[in-house]
Amino acid sequence: MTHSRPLLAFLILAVGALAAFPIIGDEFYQELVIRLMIMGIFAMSLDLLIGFTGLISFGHAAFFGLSGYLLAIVTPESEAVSIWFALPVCLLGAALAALVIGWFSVRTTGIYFIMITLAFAQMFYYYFNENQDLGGSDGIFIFYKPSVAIGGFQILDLNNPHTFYYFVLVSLVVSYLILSIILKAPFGQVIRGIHANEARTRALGFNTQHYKLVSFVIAGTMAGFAGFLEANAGGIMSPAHLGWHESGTVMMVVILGGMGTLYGPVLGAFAMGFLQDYFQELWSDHWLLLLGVFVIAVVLFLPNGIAGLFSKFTNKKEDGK
Amino acid sequence: MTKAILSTRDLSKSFGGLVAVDSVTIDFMESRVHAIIGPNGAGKTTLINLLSGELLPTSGKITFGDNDLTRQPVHAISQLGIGRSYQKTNIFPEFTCLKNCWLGAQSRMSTSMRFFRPAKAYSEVRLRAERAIDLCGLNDRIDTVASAMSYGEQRQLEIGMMLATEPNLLLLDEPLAGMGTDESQQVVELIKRLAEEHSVVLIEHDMDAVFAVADALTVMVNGKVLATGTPEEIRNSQEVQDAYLGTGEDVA
Repeated sequence: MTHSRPLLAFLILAVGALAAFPIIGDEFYQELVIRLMIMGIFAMSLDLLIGFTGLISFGHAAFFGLSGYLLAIVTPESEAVSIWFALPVCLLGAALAALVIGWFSVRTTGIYFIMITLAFAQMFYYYFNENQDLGGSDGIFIFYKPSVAIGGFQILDLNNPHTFYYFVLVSLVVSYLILSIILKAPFGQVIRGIHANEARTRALGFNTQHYKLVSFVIAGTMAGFAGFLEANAGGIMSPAHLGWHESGTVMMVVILGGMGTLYGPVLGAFAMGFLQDYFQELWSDHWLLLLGVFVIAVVLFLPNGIAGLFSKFTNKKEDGK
Repeated sequence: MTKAILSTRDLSKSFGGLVAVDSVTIDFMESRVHAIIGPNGAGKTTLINLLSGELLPTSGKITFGDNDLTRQPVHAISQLGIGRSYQKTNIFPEFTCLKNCWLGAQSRMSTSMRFFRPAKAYSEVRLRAERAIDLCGLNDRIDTVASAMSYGEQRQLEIGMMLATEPNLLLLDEPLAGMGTDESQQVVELIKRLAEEHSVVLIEHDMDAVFAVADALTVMVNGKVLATGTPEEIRNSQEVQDAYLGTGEDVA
């Protein structure tokens, strides 16, 4: 994507603000911002599918949750696991799951794609929900964050809240850069073509199913990365992390923030976090009702989400295409 | 006599009880413009869809050089060097002209599974795309978003996208559909120019255009081939006149 100047300035400012936050913000909000940044990574990965490839995946939480569970499984009860072992296991697990689910799913389109991704994710949900060795419906604790050491020498202490905060912030920025680079590359051109007009893209000589599958695997792997961070941040993985509710939430975040913009979904994650907080205070019993009304309003009046509002203000159209 | 570049043998396609294409056997010669004419519903577009792989035949065979195309998917047929344009404009409306042609040009790289270097940096792709835009006459529209262009320009772009894939054989499905006289004239000139370097299969209703560019003609009626020959032969064929071209009485 080519960034307009005001947008670039805004993104740099936003990252600067996030970097400065632990110095000024209190610890509770620091925890919250960590979770919102993780949601941002998760939502960006879904945006690759919904906003850029045109694949409406309603089972994206499967990869998020699976990866988190894998971290729980490889973490011993009384000591930390090495990140050099745990992270590849989590990412490969998510990638493999995305490969299998994607292989079946990209053969379908429209409502069938939505249903098949949902069905697969629910299979994962029920597996972890019923599996008593993994805590069943209560979930499973991760008592130790992975150790980041080279040759026995610890280089990062993820248990330190500040260190972990910056670890997540760097992850967010790197994830954004990776997706930006992929979208600019020849691969990105093809998936944008698929989004705009798949039949024509095929007629121009592209095996669109292959490209959709690769896109699905990249998105699933990145969702797995978000899940790995989530398991670290919360210290617990429960079946809810891979249920359809979670898939729906992340989809709402993408729509709220603005599909097909990458940074929009990150804004969406923060907007959602803020609104949740605000509406809960306003009307604690039925705050979801307020959130629903808000999402409907955004869909009706801001079809390009918060990011669309931003590009309206800077009077420059997002030049993704 | 040149050799056939594309051949069909007893090619048929049925939709339920309707036989849209019925035992069609045609040899399309290399470096020739071969037009297929016939009344609406004669099965012309269905035939093109079979040739480009968008539909699978019910029976029969298609060969392209040494390749059996009969069960090949659309993208593989494109990769073999067969390009097609559509009767109904089929472009990427929200992309610029250049981006529309870019994808076709990029599809001639060995693979587009490339994730790091920006697409812009592939100068050979840019050259191919620009050449296609130049050929279809949209040089001054290169950065215009397709949806903002006139209908005639979109029809030109339709052809440009196909040319970006550098095909040997062009399947043109009613390139003049819905065009005014001036625009039609431009596209006829374009087809003439393309015919110098390509083999062309042309479906067209505009008889003036057909007789202006075609080296060979096939007349289809009700899914069947009625006659194949030179424009002269077709013009003088009593059978064709009775069935289609008309001698005052309306048969179609």
